[in-house]
Amino acid sequence: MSEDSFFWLVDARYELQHESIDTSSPQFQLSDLGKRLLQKHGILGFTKACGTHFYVGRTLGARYNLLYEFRSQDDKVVEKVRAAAKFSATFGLDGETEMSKAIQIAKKATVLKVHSGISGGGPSIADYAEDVGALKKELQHLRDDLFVRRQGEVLRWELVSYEVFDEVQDAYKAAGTPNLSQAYKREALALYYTQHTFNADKIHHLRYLLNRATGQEAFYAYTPAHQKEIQALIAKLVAQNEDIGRRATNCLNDPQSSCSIANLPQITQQPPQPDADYSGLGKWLVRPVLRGNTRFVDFYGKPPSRNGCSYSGKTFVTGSVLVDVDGGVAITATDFLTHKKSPLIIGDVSVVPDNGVFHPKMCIDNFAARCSMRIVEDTLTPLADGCPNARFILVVYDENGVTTDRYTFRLES
Amino acid sequence: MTTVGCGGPEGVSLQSLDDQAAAALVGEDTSNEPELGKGVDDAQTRTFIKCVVFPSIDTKPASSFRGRLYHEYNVQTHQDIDDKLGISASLSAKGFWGSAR
Repeated sequence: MSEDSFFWLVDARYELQHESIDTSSPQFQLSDLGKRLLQKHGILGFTKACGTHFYVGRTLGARYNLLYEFRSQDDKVVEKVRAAAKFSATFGLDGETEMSKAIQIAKKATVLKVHSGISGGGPSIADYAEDVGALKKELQHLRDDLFVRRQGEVLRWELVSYEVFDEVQDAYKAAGTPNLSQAYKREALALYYTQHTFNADKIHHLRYLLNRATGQEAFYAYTPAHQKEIQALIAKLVAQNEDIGRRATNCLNDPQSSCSIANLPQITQQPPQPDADYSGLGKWLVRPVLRGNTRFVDFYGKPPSRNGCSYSGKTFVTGSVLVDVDGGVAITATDFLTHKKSPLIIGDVSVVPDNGVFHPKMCIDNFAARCSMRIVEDTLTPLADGCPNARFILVVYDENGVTTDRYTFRLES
Repeated sequence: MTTVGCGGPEGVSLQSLDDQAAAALVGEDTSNEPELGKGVDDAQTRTFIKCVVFPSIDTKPASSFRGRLYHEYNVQTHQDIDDKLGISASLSAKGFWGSAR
């Protein structure tokens, strides 16, 4: 699980009946074989053959778990779904509309996954329910299967120690081994699992960071040394998970295993900070300019001071994408569903002073949700004068935060 | 000589019990399927033979959850999921890395 995802868990659990051994009856006792084992082989032999506990009860029922995973390359989409769930008491099935809307958004951005777990019920229960109506129908179906057709499964087992029998307690005392419990095994397995999933989440996140720092539209940049540092951290986490896997398998399969948790420190090392942040304009000076006598809008661009580099006269040429119209700057935006194009105002060409530096008044304030602008520096293909090149990336979103248009403009003289 | 499984009627000969005990000590139960009365280790990683006898099983209808269709949660981590579903990490480990035997 990583930071670019949002998860919503639906847990439907219905209990039909509870069954338990009648432990109040005088006939509830160790079997002849159990007694014989205890008598002839002591508590060690008894637990070797009978275990330390026995199953005393069970609950029959049905369960339907669905884990909705909303994942997107558009941070805005995940943020929107996360915010809807966090700030609204009506998200999820209780608030059908919000949940349905989130699913629709996710489907548009091709990021919805549904994971399911089903116990009980008949074979006609659907594995997945991708919309709220279908989910409610499946839950009703499951209840009918359980309560009407009695199609339940064991949801939970209860166990108790053999120490409920006096002779077992006496045998423990006689052997001087009061603790034959395998709680250590449970604790080791819990640690293995917790640490393994922690590592797996971290590996996923680190790979996500590296992905975000590569390609034409990188959000960050790492120096080669820092990239190696992250890769080394990933390798360290992968190696520890392989070690954990071996220990867990051994712990589960070998009754004599000590289930060691030694030399298994949690890897808390943090990755290096990005060396450059391309998630916004950074320190670049970007200013809208009208191209010649036309109404097309280009952007003058200049990076933070670079020795020996002049960016005078260099602009990001936008072609015919941005036009100065009455009411502001319009961009041609695409409707995600109909694919129809129509003009969308994303700001204006007036500039606002900010500590003496001028910025475009676009994709900010009221227009911040509809578009974003960022500069990605390109050190691999420098300008003709050898100075660093850059790409200006303009992204347009619909009202749900889904990307509809993406433009990349190059710096030209 | 009459031989019976664990939890059978009284009156089984000692020789038979010794045979069964010997078999039990080398691990007779190989199904690893839970069953009422069957032995288990408290980490629930494996099952053992049945070493208790009981006259009957009580059955009671469960009352919880009948009035509630579902519960919903916002989860962030695998641990969140296990916590919300009431699954212990050790049982998750068993599910993840497999059962004993």
